[in-house]
Amino acid sequence: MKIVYSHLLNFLEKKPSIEELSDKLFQLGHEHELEGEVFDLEITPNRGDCLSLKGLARDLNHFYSAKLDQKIFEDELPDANLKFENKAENLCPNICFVEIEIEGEIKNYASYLENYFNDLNLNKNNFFTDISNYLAYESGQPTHCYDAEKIAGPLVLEKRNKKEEFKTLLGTEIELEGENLVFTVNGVAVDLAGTMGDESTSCNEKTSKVLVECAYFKPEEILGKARKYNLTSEASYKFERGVDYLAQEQVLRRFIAIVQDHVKVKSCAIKSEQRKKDLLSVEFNSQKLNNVIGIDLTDEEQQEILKSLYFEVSGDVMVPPHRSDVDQINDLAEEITRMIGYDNIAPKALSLPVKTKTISPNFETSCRNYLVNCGFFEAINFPFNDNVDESAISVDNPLDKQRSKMRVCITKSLKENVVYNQNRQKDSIKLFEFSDIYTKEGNERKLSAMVCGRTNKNFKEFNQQLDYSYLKGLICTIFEEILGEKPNFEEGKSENYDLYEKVYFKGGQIGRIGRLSKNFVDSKVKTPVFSFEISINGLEISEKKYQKTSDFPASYRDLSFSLEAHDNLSDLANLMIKVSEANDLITDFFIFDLFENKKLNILKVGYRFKFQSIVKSLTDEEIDKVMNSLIKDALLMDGISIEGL
Amino acid sequence: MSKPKELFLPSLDREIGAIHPVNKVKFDLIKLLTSFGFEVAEGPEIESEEYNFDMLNIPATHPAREMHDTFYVDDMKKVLRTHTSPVQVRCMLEKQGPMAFVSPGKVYRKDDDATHLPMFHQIEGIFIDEKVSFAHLKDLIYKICHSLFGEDAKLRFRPSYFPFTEPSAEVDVLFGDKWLEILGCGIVNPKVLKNCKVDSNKYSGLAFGLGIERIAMLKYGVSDIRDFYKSNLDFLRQFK
Repeated sequence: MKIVYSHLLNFLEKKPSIEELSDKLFQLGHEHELEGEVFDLEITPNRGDCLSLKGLARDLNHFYSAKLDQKIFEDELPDANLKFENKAENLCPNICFVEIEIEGEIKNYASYLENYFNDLNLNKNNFFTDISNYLAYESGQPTHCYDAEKIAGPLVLEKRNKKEEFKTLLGTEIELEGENLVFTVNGVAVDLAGTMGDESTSCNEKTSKVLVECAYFKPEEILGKARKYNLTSEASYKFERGVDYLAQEQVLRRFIAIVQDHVKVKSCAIKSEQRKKDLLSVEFNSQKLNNVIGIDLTDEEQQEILKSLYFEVSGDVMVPPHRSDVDQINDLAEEITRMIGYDNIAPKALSLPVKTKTISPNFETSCRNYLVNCGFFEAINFPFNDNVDESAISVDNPLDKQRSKMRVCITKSLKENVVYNQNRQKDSIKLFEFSDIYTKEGNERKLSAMVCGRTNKNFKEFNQQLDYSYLKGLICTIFEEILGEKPNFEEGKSENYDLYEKVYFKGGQIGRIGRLSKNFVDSKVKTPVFSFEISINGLEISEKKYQKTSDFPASYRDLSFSLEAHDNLSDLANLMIKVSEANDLITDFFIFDLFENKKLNILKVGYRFKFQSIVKSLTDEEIDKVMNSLIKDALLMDGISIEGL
Repeated sequence: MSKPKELFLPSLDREIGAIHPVNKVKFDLIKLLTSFGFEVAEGPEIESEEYNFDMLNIPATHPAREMHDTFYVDDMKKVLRTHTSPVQVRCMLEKQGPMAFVSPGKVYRKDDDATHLPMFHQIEGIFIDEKVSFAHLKDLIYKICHSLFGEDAKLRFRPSYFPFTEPSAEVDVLFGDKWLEILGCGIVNPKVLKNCKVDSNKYSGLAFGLGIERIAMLKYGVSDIRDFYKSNLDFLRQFK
């Protein structure tokens, strides 16, 4: 809302400088920008009462004494011969009309009216509409002007559900639909209540007899109507935020006075309905007020502040009719705090009586740190896409069709991140993301990682590519090091992958690992992309038990196997696990060499075993006994041989 | 005698990665707030309207509840939470007596332009005890802001409006010659306490909420909020 500094000064007894006024408006919570002498204010939605010169002046009264004695028409007014039926009294309890007939020509606008249009660079419309617009600026109260000669029948206010064409006074054609609160004449809507009137009954330069309406509509009835019909309406903006429910007649009397400032009033008459009259009261409790704010004001000091904001304090606090935002003691506390100035409230030392708990590291934290140490970058993606998965949750009001579903996995988002980086000439990509994933089946916390391209930027690893073994090794290491146990894998098939394994942990499937198909990746860069995605719900860090270290020497044995096919690798691996589990003397084993002789179609695999006892030095005989048993078992397996045996 | 060749060979460097800057700031804030005594509480991102709005004194007629501001799912029965405050509602309903919780997490608003994202991160805190006042809130906010921006940081408290706090304030911090909005806070509206079965005659509370991206932007000098969610390695690499 734009307010001109000099206009506002007319409503204040004291005359602060523009800078001082700006500071004070900030103190009161009226954020704004200053454009020359114009305050462009962002009034918070609870303060509809401040959307005018009078409203701001009332809020500034405590500091600069508001001047609210603008001239009104004070004479008694005859009853208007208006046929009006209010069929929506609960939605519009208070409404007032004046009929004004003028005589003569309007030559120039009075300075206050002329300045309103000039200083705010606004277009004039016609005499009565111009007054209505100015009056909303001055008082915050919207009024609507009908050309009285064009009202050819009783005026009815009703809420009805009717599809009908409606041409606004600005010429916009809309179709009313659903339930609307409207003023009708002979069954035809002539005014979308609180929002905008129609063209057929609007005023123009020739209008000499006007019917001005001023009402209090329940804010929730007006809310969203302008947006529904894509209309820009100052009136609905004010009604939505709440207007003074008792000011209607006063505002129309001001309207008449403004007309009189410009032209002779031949006749004027009034019709008024007022059902909502009682002021709201709030308990006055000085101690509670001080407790909320954390200060120590006397009853008198508190009351003085409240009175300066037009609250009556006589036992209870009576809330003025323009303050629809106040209905409890905390609201009064806010008023007092605003007047003192939030910045002027001295902080009081706060110590939380709640004991600090040490946060023990969880799987996610440990895993995140490990991945970062391995050169991975964490990504965060929006959860929206257009996947067709049946378990995907639909967004009822999406931003667009491409973002109409909640993602069912992280993989697709990371794949898009990979392609984005490939398109920016990145040849080594390691990304991961943790996220909650919501589907129709429930929600799960998931981790996904994706790799593609070169292993590292150094002279030894530059030519090595991130591959399936790398990623599988990563997931095995994470599980073994953090959870104390490796996962298992089982070959499977899945759309979007040309190499795929299910990942199992403690007997249940928790995810998948694989090489993404080229079709799915859909990138001009052909480097293969590998990914895993696992559910991490319930994965907890294993408590490591201390094991006594051995002071006796370790012995190593290397053994090289010749395999006829890759299948034999897993058979051999299972044997190694079995043997090592059965023998306490084997404290470690791993593959130290793997070589594929394509000419001979043979796979050579070298295992290293570590033997050590915590109670004695092992003899060669003891070690050989274990090794011979292992060799014997291995040679019984199909497709496995040991050179020289 | 010539020097050993190893002295001349290049070192075998390996690049480490980085935690996402938004998470990094989130973890720093959690660390800070838990050091004050707050416990961390988390909750679902898909929420009922009751927890996201009604319990927090945001009535059915409030503009925030319209289709253009909030994402609805499950045939309009649920919302993608628009703030992390529903987590605090859950905490209040579950716990009796004094309590201090912070709830970090993703929140959603139906917005997508140069300065607004459909998803962003918040961390909100609530402290309930007897006679908690606005003056106490100021003390806490000063501590938070001084920890984030240095002991010399200048703060400004402005009255604002949130349905779930009363009085409500927005806090600006002075950067150069510009005041930048950092957080929203206030005294928990007694209506919210009542909704959450907290005895509002005995207890009062303070609450605050920060946008994590905003803090990350200020901390790192990122000027475009959208950069956080492009997963550009050149961007992410800068937050090691």
